[in-house]
Amino acid sequence: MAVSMRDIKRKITSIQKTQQITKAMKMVAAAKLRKTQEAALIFKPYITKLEQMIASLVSSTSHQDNKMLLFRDVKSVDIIVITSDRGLCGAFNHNVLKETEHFIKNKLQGKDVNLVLIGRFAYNYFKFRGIKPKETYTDVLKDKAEYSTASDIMEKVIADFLDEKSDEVYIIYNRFVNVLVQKPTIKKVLPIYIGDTVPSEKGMVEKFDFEPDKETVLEELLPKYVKMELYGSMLESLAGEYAARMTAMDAATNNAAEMIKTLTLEFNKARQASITKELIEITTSIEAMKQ
Amino acid sequence: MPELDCSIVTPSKKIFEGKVEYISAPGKVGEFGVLPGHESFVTVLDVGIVEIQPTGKEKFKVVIVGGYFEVSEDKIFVIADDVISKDEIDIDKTKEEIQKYKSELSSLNVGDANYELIQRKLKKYEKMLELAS
Repeated sequence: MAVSMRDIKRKITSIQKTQQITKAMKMVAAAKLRKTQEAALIFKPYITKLEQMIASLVSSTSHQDNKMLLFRDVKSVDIIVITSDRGLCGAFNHNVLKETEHFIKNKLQGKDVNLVLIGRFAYNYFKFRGIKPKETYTDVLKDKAEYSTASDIMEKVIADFLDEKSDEVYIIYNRFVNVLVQKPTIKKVLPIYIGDTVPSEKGMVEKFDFEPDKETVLEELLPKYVKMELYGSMLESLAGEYAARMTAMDAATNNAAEMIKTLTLEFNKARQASITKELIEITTSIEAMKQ
Repeated sequence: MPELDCSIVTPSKKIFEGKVEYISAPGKVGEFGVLPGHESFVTVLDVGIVEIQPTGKEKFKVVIVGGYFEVSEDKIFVIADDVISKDEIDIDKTKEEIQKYKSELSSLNVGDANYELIQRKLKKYEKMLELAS
């Protein structure tokens, strides 16, 4: 008998405890995921509305001097990378960070790249590689995404863009496709490009009076729009994190169950072996006494 | 009695949705009020106090931080950066914040990168204090 029954029992108990924890974590992640999804649902119609208004304003104003809409030669690029603060969520962070590195290596060669990092994972990853980020924000995406956080982060990025310290701004984050799939996504946020994807409602602009005028309203709306894009990405990343944790914890719970099954089998075998051994001992001693 | 359909939201929460008789808000170019039958218009909001008179309910005020304001066909739609209601305000804390931002502001010059941001934050807390007291 290789392993004693007591050892196996101890192992089983320990795995059972782990299983309880992973099960609880899965449940917590599921609840938080639901909340985050609800928040995303509230938010969706507004960004769509704002997009429509901006699209129709862009097409009806002369905005040649609006820097946020103008493309220029790209020398310096800001990248906002969104990861999580806590682990135990599978390859969630790894995927985004790999994508970022790949993007910098292949698409931004010879350009000056500055990183704005959100989440402890991104910070540790680049610190380990000796890359100093421009800004780091940790613990801002703890239980929920706050618009004010997104706004504060973006405010600085926009200021740098307007000062021509950066010529392009990207967000790299995990897009929430569904509970099982989070797709690392690169989104260009500055300069703002409102293409044909947004149908500008005909006559939308003519319907309204603009106070004080269209240009001023557009100028106010553009930063808001960019901030909302960051907020939206943060929400998706957070939803993705919970979904990834849910999946990871579900897998862990199942693995634990599998292990408990194997160990229980081993335990039963060991018990049977010890019973057989005892029986053999008894029968041999009886046989011996007969002689 | 004619009324307006009004919805006020921030990107992260719904603040108010319902029928109102009257609403006043701090526009970038000055305070304005909207009654039913108002012409369709769009404007941007400053930091300030919004006054809302819901139909059949008591009038209330909130502090609003920036935002987009739209009226058309008796429908009002507001997206604000932040909205603070009266019962969310802690007077002592607000006073502390005002002090903090005031001293921060005094160390900056007009035109500094952070100047406007800090100024807006200060204004937000000042308006909060005004609403609470």
